[in-house]
Amino acid sequence: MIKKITILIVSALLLGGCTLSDIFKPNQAVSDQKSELSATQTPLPVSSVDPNLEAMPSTSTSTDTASLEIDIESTKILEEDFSDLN
Amino acid sequence: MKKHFLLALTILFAVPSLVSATSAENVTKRRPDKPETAQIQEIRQERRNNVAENHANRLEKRFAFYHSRLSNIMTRFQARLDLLQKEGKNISISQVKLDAAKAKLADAKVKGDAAIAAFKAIGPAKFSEQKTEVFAARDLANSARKLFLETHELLKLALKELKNITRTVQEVL
Repeated sequence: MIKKITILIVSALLLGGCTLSDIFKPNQAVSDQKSELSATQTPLPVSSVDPNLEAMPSTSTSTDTASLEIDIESTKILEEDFSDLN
Repeated sequence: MKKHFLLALTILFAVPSLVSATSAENVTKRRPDKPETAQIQEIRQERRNNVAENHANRLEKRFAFYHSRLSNIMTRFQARLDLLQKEGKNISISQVKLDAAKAKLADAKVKGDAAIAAFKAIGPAKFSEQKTEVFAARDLANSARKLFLETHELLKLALKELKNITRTVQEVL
C-alpha cells in the first residue's frame, strides 16, 4: 500500500513539476518587447558640431592670389549619406 | 485511510492545474497590451521623424557653411579683380567665371533651402506613407550639393584665370 502511495505521489509531483516549471520560466514575449522598446528608445546621436566642417581651416581676410588659392583648395563639399531613408 | 489518500491525490493534481490557470490568466492579461504596441509604433515613428529632422539639421549647417565660406572667398576674389582692373589689367575671363560662380551659388542656396524645408516638413504622417516626399527632399539636397560643387569648380577656374593675369603681369615686369 505504501509503495503504491509513494509511486502515485512521485508521479503527481512530476506532473505538477512540469506545470510549475512553466510558471517559473521567464516570459519570453514580455522580455522580447522590453528589449525592442529599449532598442527603439535609444536616442539618435545628434551632434551639434560637424567635425568634417570643423576640419576645414578658416578663411583668410587677405585678397592676394595665394590666400585665395589656399582658401579655395581647402574648401571641400562633403558627401551626403541618405542610405537610412531607403 | 483511503479517504485521506484520495484527498491527497486530489490536492496534488489540483494545485498545479490551479496555478497553471492563473498563469494563463496572466498571459491573457498581458496579451491585449495594445497601448504598449502603440507605444512601440510611436517610438519607431518618432525615430523615423528624427531621421528626417537629423538630415534637415545637418544639411542646414553644411549648406550655410558652404554658402558663407564661398561668399567670403568670392567677395575677396572680386576685390582682387577690381584692383587688377584699376591697374589696367584685362580681367574679363576671370570675371566671367566668377560671375558664373556667384550665380551658381545663388541657385545652390535656393535649392539647399528648399531641401532643408522639405526635410523639416516630414513628420506628422507616417514615414512609410511619405516616401515620395522623403525622396523628393533627398533629391533636392543632392541637387543643391551638386550646385555647391559646381560653384567650387567655377571658382577654381576663375582662380586659374586670375593666376594667368598675375603671371602676365610678372612676365611684363
